[in-house]
Amino acid sequence: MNKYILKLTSSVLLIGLLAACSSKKDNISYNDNLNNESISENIDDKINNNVDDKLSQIQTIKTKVINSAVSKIGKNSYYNTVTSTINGQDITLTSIHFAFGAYRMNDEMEKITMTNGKLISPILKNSEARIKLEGNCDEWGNDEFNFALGLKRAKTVKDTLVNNGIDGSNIIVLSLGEGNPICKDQTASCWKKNRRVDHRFIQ
Amino acid sequence: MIYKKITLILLVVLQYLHAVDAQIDIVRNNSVIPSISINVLNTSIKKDLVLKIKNIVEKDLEVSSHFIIKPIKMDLKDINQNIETLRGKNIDLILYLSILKSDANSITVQSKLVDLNKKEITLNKKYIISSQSRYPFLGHKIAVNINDNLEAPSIKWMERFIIFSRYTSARKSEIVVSDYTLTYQKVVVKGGLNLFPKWANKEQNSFYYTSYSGTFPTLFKQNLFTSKSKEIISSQGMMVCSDVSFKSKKILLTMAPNGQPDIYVYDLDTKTKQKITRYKGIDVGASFVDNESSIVFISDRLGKANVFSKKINQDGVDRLVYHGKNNSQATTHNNYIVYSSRETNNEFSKNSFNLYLISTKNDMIKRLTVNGINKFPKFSSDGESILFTKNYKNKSYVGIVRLNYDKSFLFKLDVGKLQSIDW
Repeated sequence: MNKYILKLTSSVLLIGLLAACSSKKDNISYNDNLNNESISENIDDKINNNVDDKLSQIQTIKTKVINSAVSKIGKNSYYNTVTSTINGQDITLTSIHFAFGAYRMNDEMEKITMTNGKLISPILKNSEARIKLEGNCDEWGNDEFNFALGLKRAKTVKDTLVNNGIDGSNIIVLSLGEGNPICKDQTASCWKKNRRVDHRFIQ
Repeated sequence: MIYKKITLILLVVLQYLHAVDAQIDIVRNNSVIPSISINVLNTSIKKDLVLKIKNIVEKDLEVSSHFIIKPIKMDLKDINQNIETLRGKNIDLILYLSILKSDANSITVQSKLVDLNKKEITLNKKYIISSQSRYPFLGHKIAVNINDNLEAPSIKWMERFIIFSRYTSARKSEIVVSDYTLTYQKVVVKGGLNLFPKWANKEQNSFYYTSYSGTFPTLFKQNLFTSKSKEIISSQGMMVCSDVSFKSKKILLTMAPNGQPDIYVYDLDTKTKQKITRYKGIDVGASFVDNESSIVFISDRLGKANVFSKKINQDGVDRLVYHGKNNSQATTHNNYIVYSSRETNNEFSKNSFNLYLISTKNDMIKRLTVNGINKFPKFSSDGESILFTKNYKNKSYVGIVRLNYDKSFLFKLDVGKLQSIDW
């Protein structure tokens, strides 16, 4: 009986020890012995390295601007002005400015538009020039929405010019959204200057 | 009697040994997010580039939200002697990288992923890039493969290109292709004013953009790899491609042939356009929804910019958002919309814009950001992440929101003045 107990105890102990040892078999083989071999992935750069300058490519269809148009910030005011030289004569047109988020003109801007119209009209009548109204915005909001807002501003000015006798077929409207700022300060007065419609003569 | 007692005691001891192991297994099985450590074994390239590659992999795994990063230095050959130490620190995986220079500009990376629970190397891959500047994509590839190896939800979106335009000065901009962290950048269009880039297909081998170099804004389609471009359509006033149909056969345009911005569907095969909106104010930024039978778009028809939907072949619009002072940007994925909402009304000071997620099928609304100016929201292709930009305290960031994990991550943004972005 004692021998039996001794054997049983020994067997049990041995089984226990073996069970404990097997749970501690931790060696990781860090040699390359996996089923899948080292797989190479080639991550080449397929993007074309030659980036053409689009401006030089498209110049053949670029509209010729009559002489030069210069943006000048009017003295003692936030008004922007654009001066074009046509047949040796300087024509300065005051830009039309708008309130935050708006595309309706106030009374002051409407008067300026009518003054501009008196300067524009003889040019359009006596030459092959057309006038391009460029709508601009401050930096707030999404640029796609701002492009539409700038366009609405330009269209408002166009409609006022047409209502005052300018032939609408000589007027092109365009929006530049936030892309043509005349100042970049983070101030209310700068944002005010950028919310505008500029006038440029084209042929 | 005593013999029975001894036997009983021995049986209890054996049961305890088994129970201890079972407990360990249970604890491990309950560990939902594995922790991983990344070690560089050896390298023959500059140390700063090694760190950049390692950081990309670490950040990608962190952004995936499928891993916890636990830095620990442990050479591969020392693992076996330190198994218990590693287990004590709850390390589940160790990634080893050997980053070597192949020739003048190319890099070879050997990666080995050690799974300490399975006690084996479960992933063994070599990567080659011919240009060191593409290291971010190398890092993304490594992270995606590790993620796939563990059969975690896909993060393949990390390998995709981002395309964006940035203003360089007044009336000038360029279009750039980058990785999702905007670390890698390559200019693909320059000269004049080129804006609103949009991927033309899910393969990302071509893109649309608007050029302002002619009399009228013109939409071009350009091949990313050959740079060959062709004119699609032009319009007076403005021209923007805001969405592309699933099979890339139709595009949504905002254009203004009569100076009035409206939304059109343009069929690329028949070259015909269908006007969808007729409101005399502003309608822009349309996206296809509901199997392309409807659009979600931005309109100011109620006084301020807001988000609306409309069936393409029917009149009548539905308002989708009822809060915020100005919601001028939105992105869609299936039944979900994320929009950027201006929450202040200040023309004299800084405004705040935050992102919100809503469903078109119920009243759910969830705020995704809490401060700063958050714009350009874009869903990833799988709809599980949102890319956006943030300006906060005079610093700019690109952000990723992981919608299923309620986490967001910010990367410092140094790209100039961002104009438009697509993912």
